[in-house]
Amino acid sequence: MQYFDFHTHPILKQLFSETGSVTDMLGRNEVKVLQSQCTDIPNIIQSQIHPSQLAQYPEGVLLGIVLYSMESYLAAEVIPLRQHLRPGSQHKLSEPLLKKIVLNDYKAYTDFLVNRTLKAYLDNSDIFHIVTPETFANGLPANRINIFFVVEGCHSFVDSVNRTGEGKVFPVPEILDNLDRLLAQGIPILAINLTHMQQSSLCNHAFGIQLTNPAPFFPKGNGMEPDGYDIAQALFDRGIHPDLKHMSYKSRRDLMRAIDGQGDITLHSAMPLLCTHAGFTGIPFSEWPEYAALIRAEGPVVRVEMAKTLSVDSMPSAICAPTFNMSTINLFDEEIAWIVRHGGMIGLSMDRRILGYVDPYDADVDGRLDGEFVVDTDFISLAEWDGLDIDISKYRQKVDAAHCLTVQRLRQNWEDQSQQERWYYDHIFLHLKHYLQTCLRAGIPLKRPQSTSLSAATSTV
Amino acid sequence: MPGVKDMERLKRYVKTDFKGYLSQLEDARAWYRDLDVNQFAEDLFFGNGYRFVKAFMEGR
Repeated sequence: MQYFDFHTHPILKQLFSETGSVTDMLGRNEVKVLQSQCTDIPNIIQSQIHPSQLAQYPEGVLLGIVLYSMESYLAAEVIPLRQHLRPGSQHKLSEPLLKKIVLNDYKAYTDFLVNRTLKAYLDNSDIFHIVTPETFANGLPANRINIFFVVEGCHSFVDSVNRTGEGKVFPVPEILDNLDRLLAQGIPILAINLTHMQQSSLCNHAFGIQLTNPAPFFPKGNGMEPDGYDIAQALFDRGIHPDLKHMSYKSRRDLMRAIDGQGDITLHSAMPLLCTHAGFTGIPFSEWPEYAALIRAEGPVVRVEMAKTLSVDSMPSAICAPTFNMSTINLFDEEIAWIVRHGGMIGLSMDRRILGYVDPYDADVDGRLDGEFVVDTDFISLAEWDGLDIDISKYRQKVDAAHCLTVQRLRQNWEDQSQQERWYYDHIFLHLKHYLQTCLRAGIPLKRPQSTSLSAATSTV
Repeated sequence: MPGVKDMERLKRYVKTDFKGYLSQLEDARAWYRDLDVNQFAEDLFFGNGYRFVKAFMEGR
């Protein structure tokens, strides 16, 4: 089998180690199993896409390598995760490095992206082969991991500040100067995310982190900002694809409208958009309020707890029916059709959290199992809530046992432990079917979504 | 949490079971027989991405 993924971090964990090389590995026996922490954290910490694991695909591997510099607030939240490593392995998640990132003493672009990450790939050319046009003319080399690059968040290009707000922005000239330095070296950069988990001055982000204190990651903006449009146009001018992942729903909508010439700003010579590691909500945005089990203003954001649709319209039986993750970080139906029509690509994440799979024995990190219905918790900025003109008369219209997954049904599903893997696979099947069905409903012939536009994304680190 | 080592098994599962899954769904009945599931799986796990990146590199 040949293997492809748009968005991978094969050496991310190695980059946070105090010692060692890109071939070091974090194994299961280095991660503590804490009875009080029945979460995905141990699974996330241990290696999932190590170069040695990629070697099982000897017919050829082609990967998008993520150049990513950890944001300041995220670095602060990662420091306590070291407790999940056994004492002899805690050096593999360097506390001094994380603290320097928090303080911006370790610069996102110069120190982390260029000198730590990119250098590691360039220095290990016996393992990694950076693709060129000739690579495709001659056939993929099978003895090395063939790579191109994607950049996860424009903050990764910025040394001058490591957070926005209080007058601080991610400067557009600094982002583009540093991008151009990489391009001038011939580094093939396919796609760039405008934003990631933390507030950006380019556009608002979608709330997207469940394992830590959510407040530092609340989105507080309102769609695309003027600097974001400037960056998007600059990417088009350089032949680079914007990656929609991590943008808020309104930011994504603003960008699509600008490309279609329907917004306040019109972008020119647009490149197709990617969304490299996403899931689907299973509905158009217009139906989103119908599945909201709770809507409540909480400080700078609106907390929304989304019940999970069973898609019962297409299900002969709701027993063990899979669901979606209905958080707005995932794509709505009209976005799937838009991306396909415009020649873009969707990397369908196989990450069970993104797919909406819920394990009742996981720690209940966000209260999703507290009530009658299983919920996905989302936080929308107040400004976007007003800007989206959400039809509140639809609130809770489909929050019932006929349409949504109840906690009782989830626990019933789990009574037969042998069904767990099957249920996870059914989540993937539901997403594949939904992608095809959504394209057909949008008038796109089956041949196109079948043989273009969708790619599996392991989304592992 | 599935990792890269699980993708071969998942691809095989798509090839063997996805069409049967679709056949049970009322709103897929009109089109599922037209799906070439073997080609769909090949493209999903490699072909679509490969062709997209190839076109990108050739256009640089």
